[in-house]
Amino acid sequence: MAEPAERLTQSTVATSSSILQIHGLTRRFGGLRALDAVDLAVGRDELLAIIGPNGAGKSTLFNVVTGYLPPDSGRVILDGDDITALSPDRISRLGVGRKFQVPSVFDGLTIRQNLEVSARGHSPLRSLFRSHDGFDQLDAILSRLRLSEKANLPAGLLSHGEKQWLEIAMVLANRPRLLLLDEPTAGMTLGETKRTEELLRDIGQEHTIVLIEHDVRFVREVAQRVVVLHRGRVLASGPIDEVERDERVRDVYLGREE
Amino acid sequence: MSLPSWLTGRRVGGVILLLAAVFPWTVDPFEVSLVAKTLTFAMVAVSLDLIWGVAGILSFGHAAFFGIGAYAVGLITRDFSGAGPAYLGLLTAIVLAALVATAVGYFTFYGGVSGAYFAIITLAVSLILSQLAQTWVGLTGGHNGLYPVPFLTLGIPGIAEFTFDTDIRIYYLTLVVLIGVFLLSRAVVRSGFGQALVAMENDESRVRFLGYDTRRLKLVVFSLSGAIAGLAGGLYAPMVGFVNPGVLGLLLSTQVIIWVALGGRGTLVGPIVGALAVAFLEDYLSGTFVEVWLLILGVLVLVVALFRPQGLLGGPAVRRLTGVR
Repeated sequence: MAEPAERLTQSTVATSSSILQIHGLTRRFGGLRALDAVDLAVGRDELLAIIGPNGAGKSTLFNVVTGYLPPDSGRVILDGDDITALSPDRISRLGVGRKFQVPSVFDGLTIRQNLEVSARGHSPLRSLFRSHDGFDQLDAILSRLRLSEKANLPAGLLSHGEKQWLEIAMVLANRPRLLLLDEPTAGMTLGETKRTEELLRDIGQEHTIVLIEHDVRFVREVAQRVVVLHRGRVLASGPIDEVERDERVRDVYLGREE
Repeated sequence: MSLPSWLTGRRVGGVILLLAAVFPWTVDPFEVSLVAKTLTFAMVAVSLDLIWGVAGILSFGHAAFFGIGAYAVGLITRDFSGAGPAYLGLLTAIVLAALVATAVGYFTFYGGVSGAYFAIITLAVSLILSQLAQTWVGLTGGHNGLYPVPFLTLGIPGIAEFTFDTDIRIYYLTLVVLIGVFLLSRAVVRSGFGQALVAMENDESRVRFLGYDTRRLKLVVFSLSGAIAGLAGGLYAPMVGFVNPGVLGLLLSTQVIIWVALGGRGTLVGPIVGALAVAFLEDYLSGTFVEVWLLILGVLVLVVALFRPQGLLGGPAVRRLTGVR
């Protein structure tokens, strides 16, 4: 890596343990800088939440990291490998799993089949025609997400909250090194949100998770560290208590949100 | 709608096979040859169902592959008789159609072309090939086409050759190949590859973010689909005894879409039933209502599209019986 560690701002954790490093990431839409020289590092096994008002650049960040949008400048490093502007399928095969804000599940397949498709996502084309043997863990994932009883129902019949869980289950079945979850509690009831909290804490035991979230209470429950994005820039970073006390953060975000 | 438990796919399939086996002995030879011809069209319908019904990509020029297959067998078996050349012809039909599909698919899918634009490009390809068949008189015989194309001779080359020269023989050959095409397609749909295709039809970007190269998925299913249509064309040419540019044209491409839509997209059996039903109605009605036959077909398509958009055989009951998905 040519980029010296000193370039990283205080918003980063120690580089040696980082699974994801983002250097100077910039993405413009016309005159708007959706991402403006964002530096960020995600430590191994960390559960990091990215918060910020609408239009802060949170989803754009995920879109650039997962290869859906190319950046105008900057680099994305996954475990030491430069993955900047690779295609979404390659980045997925390299181990970045993504859950979308609007739950994207395959309505025409059963819940189990949704997981099977996800489990095979990294397989070479040829092996798709053979029977697959990596399915042992699917039952465990199903019961973890409380979807076991509905395993053979079409995914289209699930409620909104259950679809959110199914998509998390799909990302887990895909066996990523890093999970990017875009508002996993969007549209959920209070009870479902509570359940998702437990779930994320549980999954966070063995996975590195980056979470985009609007719900600050939820973030307080699950995240070890919070990064605040504002107008495409990293405004603050640290434990939620510190960040909440930050005057600038209060001004742009927390005060207005609640 | 749930089915009684004694009504299993195996039993229904058995009855249908039995009926298909005795059918040619119960009607006159003309009807048998008509049905045999329709079975080759049904193969094209199954091939279109793979790409359109299962993977959600509409090809508006599927006759191109049928025509390539028909010309390949016509050209090769016209001048060389025996089982060897017949196999070579059929193999060429399959491979050439698959290659053309691969070439078209490569430039479109890897060029990011999708939806209506893909349909238009496939339409253009079939029209170009049809034009080529009309103008390259030295190879294709132009408007008159290739005539006569001899009956297929198969078996063990040079040892036990067997010519399919009666309507009943041709019918059984076509039926067996169609069953093979159906079973192959069903195996593809049930495989991990087929599941990925269904998922891609549901939400392509989700599939990409799971690690699938969707361009390759599309390319493979389009090539396979083209190969099957090519095989169907290869069986068709010797059956009717000639090949002309009509086999490449717009009419067949459109009809195939109607058969698949009528019968039920993504069901694999629906398109077969669709092809047979339309052929039956046409045979039955066009005798009595020559002028209004197309009008009747149009109304039928509209009625199905409005009141049963999933097609006649679309739905969970048929899915359970056929084991597709």
